[in-house]
Amino acid sequence: MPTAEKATVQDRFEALRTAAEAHQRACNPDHRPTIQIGLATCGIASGALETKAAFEEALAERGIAACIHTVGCVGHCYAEPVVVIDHPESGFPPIFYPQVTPGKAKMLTHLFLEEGDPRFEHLLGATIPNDLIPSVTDFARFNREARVVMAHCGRIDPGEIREYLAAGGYAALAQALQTPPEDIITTVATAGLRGRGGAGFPAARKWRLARSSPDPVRWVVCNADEGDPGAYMDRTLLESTPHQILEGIAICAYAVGSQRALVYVRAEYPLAVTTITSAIAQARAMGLLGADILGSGFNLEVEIFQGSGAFVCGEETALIRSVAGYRGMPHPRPPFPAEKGIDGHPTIINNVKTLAALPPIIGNGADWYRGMGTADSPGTAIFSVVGDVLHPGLVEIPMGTSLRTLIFDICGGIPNKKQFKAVQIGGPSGGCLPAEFLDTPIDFDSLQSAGAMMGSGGMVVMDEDTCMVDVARYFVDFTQKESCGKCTFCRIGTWHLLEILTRITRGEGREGDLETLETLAEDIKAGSLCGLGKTAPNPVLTTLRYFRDEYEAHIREKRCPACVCRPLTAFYIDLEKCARGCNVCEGCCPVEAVFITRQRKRAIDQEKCVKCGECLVACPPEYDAVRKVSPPGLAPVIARPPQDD
Amino acid sequence: MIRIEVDGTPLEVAEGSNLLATCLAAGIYIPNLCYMAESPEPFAGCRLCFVEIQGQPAPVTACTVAVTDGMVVHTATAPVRRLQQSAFRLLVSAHQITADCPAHKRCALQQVARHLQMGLKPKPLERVPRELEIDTSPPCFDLHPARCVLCGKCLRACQERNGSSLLTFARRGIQTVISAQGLSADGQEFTCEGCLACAAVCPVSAITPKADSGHCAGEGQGHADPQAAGS
Ligand SMILES: Cc1cc2nc3c(=O)[nH]c(=O)nc-3n(C[C@H](O)[C@H](O)[C@H](O)COP(=O)(O)O)c2cc1C
Ligand code: SF4
Ligand code: SF4
Ligand code: SF4
Ligand code: FES
Repeated sequence: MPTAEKATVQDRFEALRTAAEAHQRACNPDHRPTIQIGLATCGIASGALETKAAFEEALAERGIAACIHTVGCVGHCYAEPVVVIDHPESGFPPIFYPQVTPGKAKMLTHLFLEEGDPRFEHLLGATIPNDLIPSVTDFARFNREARVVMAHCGRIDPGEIREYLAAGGYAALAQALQTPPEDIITTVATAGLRGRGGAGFPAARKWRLARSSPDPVRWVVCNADEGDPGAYMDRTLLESTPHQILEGIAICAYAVGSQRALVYVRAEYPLAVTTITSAIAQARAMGLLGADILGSGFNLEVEIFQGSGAFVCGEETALIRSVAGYRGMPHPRPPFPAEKGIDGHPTIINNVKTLAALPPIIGNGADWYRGMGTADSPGTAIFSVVGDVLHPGLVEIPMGTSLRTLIFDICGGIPNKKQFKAVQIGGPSGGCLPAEFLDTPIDFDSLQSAGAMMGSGGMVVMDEDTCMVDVARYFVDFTQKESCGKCTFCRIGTWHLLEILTRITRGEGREGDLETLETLAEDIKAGSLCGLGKTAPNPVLTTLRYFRDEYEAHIREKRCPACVCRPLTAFYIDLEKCARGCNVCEGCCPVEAVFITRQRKRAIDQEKCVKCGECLVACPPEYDAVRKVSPPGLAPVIARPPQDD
Repeated sequence: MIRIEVDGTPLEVAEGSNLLATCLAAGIYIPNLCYMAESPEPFAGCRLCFVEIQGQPAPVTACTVAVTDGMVVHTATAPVRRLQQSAFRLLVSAHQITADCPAHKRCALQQVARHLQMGLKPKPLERVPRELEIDTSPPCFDLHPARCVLCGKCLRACQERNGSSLLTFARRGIQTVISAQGLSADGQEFTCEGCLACAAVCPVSAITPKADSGHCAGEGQGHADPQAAGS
């Protein structure tokens, strides 16, 4: 490319950035206090809109001039609604407040904004280290993270492209457009970027295949189908940092020589759809998408396709069918989508996180990226950690961090003094790992060899009160229902896995069931057509490998060690502990199974009890009299006294 | 022409030919239910046609392989048989067998059973309890979902012939069925041409021409797919 042309792209970009910075400064010229509120789906679900309204109302009432800055998700789901207040005049640094209810919002407006008291009992910490108050960076949840893909999440307004530009956004695209496409691919190859959608396939290798195609029409698809139960990384990124994703899409499209891109997102993600739609429109209006981007001669149209929410549609060949308007059913590969995809054209399908990693990689270089993570899995991993942890949420960590660090240090460990039992990584395609694996580094290959899978980042932590047979049953129930039905092993095989697991959890397991489960699971893995079937047995195989004794207890002793499987458990009331006169359990039992003993205590009629566990929850902690046992025969039998009336 | 070897027999074939078709044409039977030579792409759903190819770590489906020079193929190794028997057991666990089935004796499943030396009971697996009604709503044929093995041949035959298919997959998981609710590519409801191409290809007589379907001048009056026999 001639130098004059290079200058044009850079000049155009600099002009956009300067204007964006000026706009940012003009937003708050007199350094008013800023109230930053997270308004992604998670925040909204915990009442962030009400919190925002309360701030607005309180500010108006008190005549305080402050800016309300709405942002996406910061990843601290346990702390939603999250508010960061920057009140320069108070002398304090910006402060992070968790769980800001409307009441707290009004209180903070009055006491902090008006009177300068930050209310120490309500804050989590300052967002930066300082001499006055503790800072959030003292917590592992903040300092062990490495935010690359999530760098802007919860910091900028996803609805305002100028905030992204002012924060350095689109600089990598401008830089890429002045670099030969092959060099971009080389950088991505050197960086060692592996796909974050599950399999960890090297991104550059796939791109080269498409780039070398004689077909001039090529597609790039951003896979935001995200069908794993409990996973919400991609949704959050779309809602919080849409421009970084678009910038990544544009870099990828430029590198592979594509002029058409598609964001495949499920229709169940309405806020994500709205956010990305408006982001595309803004980027087009600024000449960062569309025809002749930044005067470089490179054209890219980005469309949105709303999928109807079938798990299998995240599989790339099924996704292509679904885009063509057919039922999402996978095809045998080869041909790979990179050779023959949408309308028969070479199609690069990458996960949201893979694409969003491109701007930082191009901007900072391959060596910088390789500086994080491990030799074979460079960079960072994003997990949505849910289940039995104190601080669930979205976490971005360097690859190679141990499961222990992630679960215990970063996410606060297991609540209620319970023991850790297992962690399910990779959703229904992944596996359950027991405590022995807590020191396993999180990277593609270590997890794979442990029998789990990186997956796309779903992680469920389970405490001692979890039945592993039931967990396996839950995931197989999911994959069976989501099987597209095309191939025999997945359609019928997973049904049999489910049938056997269900029988075992009902106490109807038989000798030989475990061997049948194992053989069938291996066959489904080896024989299925697509990744859904090939990975569906993983939860069964890993729980069989690591928790076999639990299966055996169910089958041979009709006992559920975690007291979860209802047919194998019973509730009873410890008469020593039951307080005479307390009537809580009787009142809450939906089936009137609780009766009054001769000593005016309470007992449970085992015939009537439906094992809902309401009484266990309701019994006041000072008595703690309700017990759960397995097998049910362990519950003492207490006869109901003859009715008085 | 290139040379390949199947179970020790040297074969001379055109480069890029389909491995399953090549074997069947040479009289080497490989169990299969969903392969259709006319289809542009293999369906690869029945998972019966496994073979081992020297140099590959695990069995692969023959219907998805294009032959290359020097390819050495084994059709009856232990890992191949294990997968085939397992797939067959799964298929019969969900397949209704009745004495009055028109495909009886000629059914492709029975041929596979003979080849794999298996009975028609899914032991140690249970039968999948399914109560599936016969769909008599199509004008020219009846659909027997309890017999259907979901090989997808019927809808591909309809597609090939009419450019669009009346038949389509519906529901998911074990509930997946073939349903006569298809739409044409432009989203319009598709009307049955009455050609009975679907009934002609069905390997298990899950599609039977209506007795009084005189106006449906179909070629599908015979049932059990002759091509499934392979040789
Ligand atoms: C059943 C199934 C579901 C999948 N769902 C998703 C998904 O929701 N998002 C995703 O990015 N990849 C999903 N994948 C993986 C994709 O097929 C594909 O490998 C991925 O999008 C490639 O992108 P990557 O290389 O960036 O990981 C799924 C795969 C299977 C087998
Ligand atoms: S493995 Fe399951 S989801 Fe994949 S093609 Fe087979 S039936 Fe469909
Ligand atoms: S477990 Fe439920 S049904 Fe049983 S006694 Fe307690 S409240 Fe009643
Ligand atoms: S009806 Fe017959 S041809 Fe159609 S899918 Fe079922 S078994 Fe195959
Ligand atoms: S014939 Fe190959 S999978 Fe059915």
